[in-house]
Amino acid sequence: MRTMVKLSGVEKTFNSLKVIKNLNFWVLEGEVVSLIGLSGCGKSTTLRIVANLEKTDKGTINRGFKRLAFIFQEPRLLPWRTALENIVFVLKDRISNKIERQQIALHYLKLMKLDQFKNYYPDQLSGGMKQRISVARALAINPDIILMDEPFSDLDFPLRLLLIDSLQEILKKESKTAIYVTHDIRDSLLLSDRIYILTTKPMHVKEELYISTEMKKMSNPKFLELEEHIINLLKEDSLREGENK
Amino acid sequence: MDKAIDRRKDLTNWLKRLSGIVVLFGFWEVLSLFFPPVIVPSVERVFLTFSQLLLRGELWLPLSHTVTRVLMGVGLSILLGGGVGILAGLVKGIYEAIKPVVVIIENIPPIVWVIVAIIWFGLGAIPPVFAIISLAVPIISVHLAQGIRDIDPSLREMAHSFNVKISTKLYHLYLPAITGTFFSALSVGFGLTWRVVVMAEFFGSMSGIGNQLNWARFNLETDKAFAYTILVVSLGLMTEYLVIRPLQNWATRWRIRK
Repeated sequence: MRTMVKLSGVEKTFNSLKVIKNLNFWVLEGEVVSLIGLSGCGKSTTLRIVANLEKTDKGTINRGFKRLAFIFQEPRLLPWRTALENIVFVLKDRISNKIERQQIALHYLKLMKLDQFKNYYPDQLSGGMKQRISVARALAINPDIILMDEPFSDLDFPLRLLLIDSLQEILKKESKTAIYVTHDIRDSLLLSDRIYILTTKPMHVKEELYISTEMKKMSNPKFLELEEHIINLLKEDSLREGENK
Repeated sequence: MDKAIDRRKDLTNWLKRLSGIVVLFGFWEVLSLFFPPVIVPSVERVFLTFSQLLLRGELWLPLSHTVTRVLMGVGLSILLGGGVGILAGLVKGIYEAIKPVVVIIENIPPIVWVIVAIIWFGLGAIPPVFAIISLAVPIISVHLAQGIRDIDPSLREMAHSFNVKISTKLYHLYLPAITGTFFSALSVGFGLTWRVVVMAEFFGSMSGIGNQLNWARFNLETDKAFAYTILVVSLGLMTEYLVIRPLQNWATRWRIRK
C-alpha cells in the first residue's frame, strides 16, 4: 500500500511558543486516520501543514498524493453562488466540459441528498446543509486525500451521526484516504481505521490505535472500552496542562 | 401584522422625507417674495421656464452633450480605475504605492483639473471628460482595492487549497465579492461627476448644461439657471435610483433571497 502522507520530526513555533515538537505519523492509501487531542493542541495546524497552507520550522513531509480536498470547520461556501455553482467552482479548472462539470456536481449533491436544493444560495440553507455541500465539493474533485478539520463540530449530535454515516459509506465505497482532525472521541472511533492520540504543548503522538470494522459499532463493548481509554489519555493531558498553568 | 407595521413605518419615513423637500421649496418661495426675480425667481416661474425649455426642445442638445461626456468619463474611469484597483487589491506593494498618490490627487480641487485641461487641450469636450476621470479614477480604484483586500480570507484559503486558478478566482470569488463596493464607488463617483461636469463645461466648453448656465449668467436669466440646476439634480437622482440601485440589487440578489 502506498504511503500518502508521512511526517517526520516536524516542528512548528508560533510567537516563540513551540506548538509542535518531533511529530511523526503516516497515512496509507485508503486509510481514514484521525488525529485526536485537546482543543488548541495543534491538530488543525498539522492538517494545514499537510495541505501546504502552513510552513514548518523543522522536519520533512512526504506527500504521495496529487489532488487534495479540504473540508474546513466552517463550510466556506461562496455566498453569491448556488449550491451547485459552489461545487462547479472547484471543477472549473479541472474539467473543460460545462455539462460534465454540472453532472459531477449534481451527482455529489445527490449523494449528500441535496439535489433538490441545487439552486439555493448558502444563506437560504441550514448549517448542516451547508456543511454537506462542502463535503460534496470535496468529493467532487475526486481527491487522492481528504483533509477534514472538525467539519461536524458545529452540528447537533444526531445530524453529526447521519453525516458521519454517509461519509463513512462514501469513503469506503470509493476507497478514499482521509485525515480527520477532531476532539470528539466518538466521531473519530466511528470514522477511522487508525487513531493518533496527540498530547499537548508541544504536540506529539502519544499513542496510536488501530480500529477494526467491528469496533466501529457503538453497541460493541470494545467501542466503549476504547472510548474510555482515550478519555483517560486525554484526561491525563488535561490535568498536566492544568498543573503547568 | 408585521408587514402592516413595516408598511406604516415606510409611509411615515416617506412623509418625513417629503416634508423636508416641502420646507425647502417653501423657504425658496418665501425668499422669492422679498427679492426681485432676477435675484431669486419664484418656484412656479422656474418650473414654467423648465417646461418651456423642455417643450421648445432647447434642453435636449445641451443634455445630450453633458450625458455623453459623463458616460465617456465614467466609462473610461471604470476601465482605468478598475484596472488599477484590481491590481492594487491583488498586489500589496502596488496598494501601498498608490495610497499616497490617491490622497494627493483627492486633495486637488476639481477646478485645477479643469484649468489644466483647458491649458493642455483647449476649450471643448475634453476638459469635462478629463475632470471626471481625474476625480473618479482615484475613488473607483481605492474602493475596489480595499474591497479586494477585505475579501474573507477563509474563502481565499478555500480556493487556494482547491488549487483554483487565478482567472477562476477573479471571476467567481473576487469580482462578486467586490460588487457591493464597486457600486458604492460608482454611486459616489456619479454623484461627484454630475457636479464636476457642469463646472468643467461652464469654464472649458462651448456646449452642454454648464455652457447653458454660463449663458444664463451672462444674460442674467436666473430662472433659466435654476431650471438647468433642477435638470442636473434630476439627472443625479435618476442615475442613483433608476440605474445604480437596481443594478446593485440585481448583482447582490443572493443577499436578499431569504
